[in-house]
Order: sequence, then C-alpha cells, then structure tokens
Amino acid sequence: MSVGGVVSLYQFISTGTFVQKVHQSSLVLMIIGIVLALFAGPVFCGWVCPLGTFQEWIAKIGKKVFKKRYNHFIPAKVDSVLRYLRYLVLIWVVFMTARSMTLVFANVDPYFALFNFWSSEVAFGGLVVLGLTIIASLFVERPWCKYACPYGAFQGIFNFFRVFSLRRNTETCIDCKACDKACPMNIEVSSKTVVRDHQCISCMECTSSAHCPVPQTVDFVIGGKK
Amino acid sequence: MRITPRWMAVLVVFLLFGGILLSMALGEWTTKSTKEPLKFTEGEFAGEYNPADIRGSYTFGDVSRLFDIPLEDLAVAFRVSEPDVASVSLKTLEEKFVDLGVDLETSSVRLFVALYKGLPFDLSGEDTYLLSEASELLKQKASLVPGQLVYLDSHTVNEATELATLAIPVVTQPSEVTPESTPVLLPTGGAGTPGGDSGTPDPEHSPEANKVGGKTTFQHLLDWGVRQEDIEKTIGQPLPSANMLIKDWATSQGLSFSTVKDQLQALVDEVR
Repeated sequence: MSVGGVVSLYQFISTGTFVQKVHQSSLVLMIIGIVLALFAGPVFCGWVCPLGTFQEWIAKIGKKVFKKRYNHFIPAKVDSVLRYLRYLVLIWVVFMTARSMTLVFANVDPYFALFNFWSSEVAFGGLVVLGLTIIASLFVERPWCKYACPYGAFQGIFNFFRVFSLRRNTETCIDCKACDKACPMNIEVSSKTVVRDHQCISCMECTSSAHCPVPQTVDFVIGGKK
Repeated sequence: MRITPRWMAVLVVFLLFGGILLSMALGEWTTKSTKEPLKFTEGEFAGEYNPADIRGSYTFGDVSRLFDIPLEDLAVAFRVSEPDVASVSLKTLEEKFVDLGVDLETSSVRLFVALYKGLPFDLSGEDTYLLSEASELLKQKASLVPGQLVYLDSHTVNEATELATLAIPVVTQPSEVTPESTPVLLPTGGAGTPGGDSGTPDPEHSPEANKVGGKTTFQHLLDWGVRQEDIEKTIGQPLPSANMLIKDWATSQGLSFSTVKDQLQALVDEVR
C-alpha cells in the first residue's frame, strides 16, 4: 500500500486525487514509512514487509539445500550492477503511473499477487513475477528486494542520512566476518565503519545483539558515538 | 545512544500503529476511493466529471448519481437484471459478459456515459464495445453525430454474427478538453486522420484558421505557411504523418497538449 502512495504522489500533488486502487491510507503508510526510514533506514523492508518475510521462508529451503553456497551464486561484479536495477524500476513505475494515471505496477507486482493470487484481479504478469521471485529465493536471499523492488529502492536512499546509523567498532572487531555472513543483502559490513549501503534493510542481523559475537561492536547508534 | 532489536521492534510498532491510529483519529485513514472521478479542468466542459475516470469499484448507482443518468437506462444498456440496480458494481460486467468474446467492462460504461451525456472521450487506446441495447438506447436518446453512429455500428456486440469479423476503425478523440474541442468522437480514415470516412475534413469541425486547436493537424500548420523544419525543431523529432492531429501526437508522446499548442501557435503567429 505504501508503494502506492509513492508512485501516485505526482497525481496527488497535481490533481489532488489518487490513481485507481490507491487510497488516502496509502499516503498515510507512505508517511509512516518515511518517518521510520528517517530514524533507521528501510525498517519497513527488514521488519514489516510480508513479501520480504515470505522470501526469507523460501530462503530456509535454499540454505538447507545449498549450505554455504546459498546467496553466493551471482558473481560479485554482476551482482553489484544488478543492485541498481531497482532504481530503474522505481523511475519507470513513477513515470508510467504519472503518465497513465493508473497503477501500472499492479500488473507485475508480486506483493499484490502473493496476497491476492486467488482473486481475478491479479494480473498474469504479477503471478509470473511472483513465481520467478519464489524460484530465485531458492538461490538468492530476498531477490526481489535486492534487484527489483521500487519501494526498497526508495527506502534505501534514507540509508545515507538516517538518524540511527549502523556502525562497526574497529577497535573491538575481531574480524570474524560473522556480520557479513549474517547479512541477507550480502553487504560486507566487516569492511565498513559506517554502513551507508543503499541495500541495507536495517534488519539488525549483523549487530552485536544478533550475530556479531563481540558485545557493542556492530550496533545501531545515533550519530558517530555509542 | 544504541538501539537494540527489542527497541527497534517497539519503535516500528509504535510508529506504524500509532501513525495509523492517529490518522484514524484525524479522519484521514480511508481505504476506499471517494467515488468521485476527475473533472475536466479546461474548456467547455470544465468542472464536469470526466467519464474516462469511472472506475470498476463504482456501482451503477454511483454512475447514475454522478452523471445524472436514469438507472433504468443503465440497467437496459448493460442488461442488469438484479432488483437493486444501484448496488451492482461495474467490475461484475467483465465476468458477466466473458462469453461475448470481446471486453465488455468498465470501459464500456465509460463510453456509454460519454456518448449519453455528450462528453469528450479518448478512444485512441483501445476498442470499446457496447451491447446492442446500449447502442439502440444511445441512438434514441443521445444526440449522436454521423461519426459516432459509424463507431457504434462497428462496436456493437452482435451475438448473432462472428465477433472476429467486426470492423474496428481507429477512432480518436483528444483526451483533454480545450475551447476548440467538441464533445464528439471523430471518426477517422486512418490513425489520427480527421475528416470521417471520406478522409476529407468535415467543414463543421474544421479548425479555426491560423489557430492551433484540438482539431489542427500538422498539415494545417504547413498549409498556414509554417516551415516543416521549424515544426520539427519545435517538436524535437521528424514530422509524423502530416494528417495526424497535433493533439493526438502530443498525447502519444506523453506531452501536455497545451504546451505543444502554445509553441506551435507561436510559429503560426510568426508567419502571419
């Protein structure tokens, strides 16, 4: 719903109305999403998004089958380029929605397809993308989030100026790379002092409260101090 | 200051549900559309509801109320047999008429309303069909021009004949309303060609001399003395079909017709 608020913002500003299937509640959720992102980045992606959770469930199967190879099938160079694909998707969706005044994204939206697959309102394209997402989730963690989600792309921008930032204490870090292994988005936390990667979903899996074995070494903190 | 996963969860729940509750308290949390279509913003029909924005979530009661069309007419036009016509949703049409072989759905209601009320309607995107009852009703009650009658005849679902053989003429109507626009569907001999079946301009709908408007083609500009290279420079690409309506071209490019119109009018004024 909140993505509907983002993509129909142009129409709302220009005409005061929403595109079809988008309501004022979408705008409210968009604002809440922005407030959360201003605090701690894409919290919506890491903590709320049901499609993200669904992909993580599928990932459990992939992890059992492929063990350590899971989430490392795509060459790093290709992967680093593909990570920006979702910004093209975001631009396309916003442009086409503004131009057509219809929710064009609904035709390929796996989120809508997942929660409405029994309904006749789901477009075939949405089911195809959902199917591809499920298959890809067996090899890559959160493939939709990494490569195609326009809302994730929008939320990711906030990582550059969020109030709480993800910091690694280089003095206490033992360089065990547990944080790297725990990150579903393949971010190399162990090489950074502050994580400002647009792909970070603020899931906190890398922090000392989760996988980092050393207390107060990788944490979400305000500003530059703990 | 450090935030732990527990406090992050609290923050998420607090902001998410707190925000929703706050918006509910302020009356800003609405999960249904207002059932109010966009209005024409300029031209003769400024302020009137645009039938192109009728949505599948509307009921026939909504359409009747918004466009002041008797429910009885809507019931006949779309074969609504339910006792409470007003509560029947437009989105049920697609399933109801799925066996007809053509899409007969909300877009058909948009077309019907536009013709019934004499409002402008853009048909350049897709072919829209009506039931024979709707066509007959329009012929009886609406003031249709010959071009509209031609369109109706070729876009009426005749269940006794092969639907696949239906003639599908390209019919265009500018989507924006300007003072130069008229609330008619302009039949064309080809994509964007004005002038009805004969391919010659209908004098009644000829554009005002040296005035760029909704019915002006690129050929008109050339006839008025504007050089082709000046036109191409203004539109930023080679001249499309000379007989194409400028308004259709602007729409196809996703451009504001009023902006294009003003720029081309400046060229016309220069050669006057």
